[in-house]
Amino acid sequence: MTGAFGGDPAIKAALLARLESHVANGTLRFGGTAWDGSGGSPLGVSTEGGDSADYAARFGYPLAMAGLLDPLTAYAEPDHRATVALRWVECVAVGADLSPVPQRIVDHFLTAMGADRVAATAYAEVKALHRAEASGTAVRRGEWTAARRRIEAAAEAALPRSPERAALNICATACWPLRTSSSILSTLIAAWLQDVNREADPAFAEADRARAVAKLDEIYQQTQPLRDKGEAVDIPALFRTGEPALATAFEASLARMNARYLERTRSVPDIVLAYLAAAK
Amino acid sequence: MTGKVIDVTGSDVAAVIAEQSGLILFDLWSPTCAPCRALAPILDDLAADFVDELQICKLNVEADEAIAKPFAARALPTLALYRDGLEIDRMVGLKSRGQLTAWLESHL
Repeated sequence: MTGAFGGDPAIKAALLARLESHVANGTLRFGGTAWDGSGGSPLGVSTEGGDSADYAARFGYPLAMAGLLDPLTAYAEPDHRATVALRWVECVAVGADLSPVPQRIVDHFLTAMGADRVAATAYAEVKALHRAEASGTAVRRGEWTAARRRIEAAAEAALPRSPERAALNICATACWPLRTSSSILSTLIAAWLQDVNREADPAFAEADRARAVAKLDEIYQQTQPLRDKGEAVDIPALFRTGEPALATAFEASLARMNARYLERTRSVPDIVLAYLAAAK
Repeated sequence: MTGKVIDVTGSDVAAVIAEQSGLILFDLWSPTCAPCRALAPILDDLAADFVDELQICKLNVEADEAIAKPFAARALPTLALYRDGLEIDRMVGLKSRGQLTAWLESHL
């Protein structure tokens, strides 16, 4: 296929019309890839199946992008998911060369986690492999595996919860061939989202967090006999009773962490769509 | 080897095992099993990664419960690895692409 939609405006128009029809009928659903014959996820209704390779072949999106469509729309606010599914098609110019887009998205998330600064060697190695693959050089599976194992070993040697370890881990996550990977971008983005948990909460000291975790572990151990008897145990309630101030601060910290995670999640569609729209 | 995951029904399993030389990976899965659904795109990628070395076959145990019997699968997803007609190893549960790659490479 030559570029997006095979260079044929009719293919883009038909795909948009199909999505719009499912939006209007309430048969466009979000979450896991699905197609039940009358409705389903964006990938499902677009292909009337759910095969990323089929989507890539029909519409000229790289396989790595096709595999990202359903996770991406699910990241949006519930009220905006249909809009994201439509923008995914609308923002791409007919005939645009989308082949560099996965590499640009990989680079975005690697640098967002500081890989270019704190894991420069691994970052350069992954970039070089992706560049070689993009230039048509055959990169054997063994080369990817060897590079990934080196990076994973470096990550293991880095301090737990350190920026270096996180950056090395995301480099390892990115160390796969892009052309034949439908899961690489969704996995990479999920890793970036999870990394929000590593950020310290200035309003809740690490020592207090450790004390809260130890207290919860203690309650868990103490209540094991009750659970063994099949009794329901409300661990948060016991925590609140035993250490009210600590429990309140811990729960507030969890709420802040969840809010940060959600904020980061909601930002993903705009990031990805900007790269798609910029392709020429 | 096709480089793609193929769906196999119960009656085809014996034929696939008998006719396919080299490594075959059977994925026993169910549409209602969330880890099975998460594993699906990883298996698609592995099929491409091991294009000349491995055939991946999916068996939907919900569509045909009898499929699971010869594999004696107790949990889903179950990945059963065959070479030349004999099961040589298996993995149960959701694994990462890296874990499965290391496992498969150890059997090449």
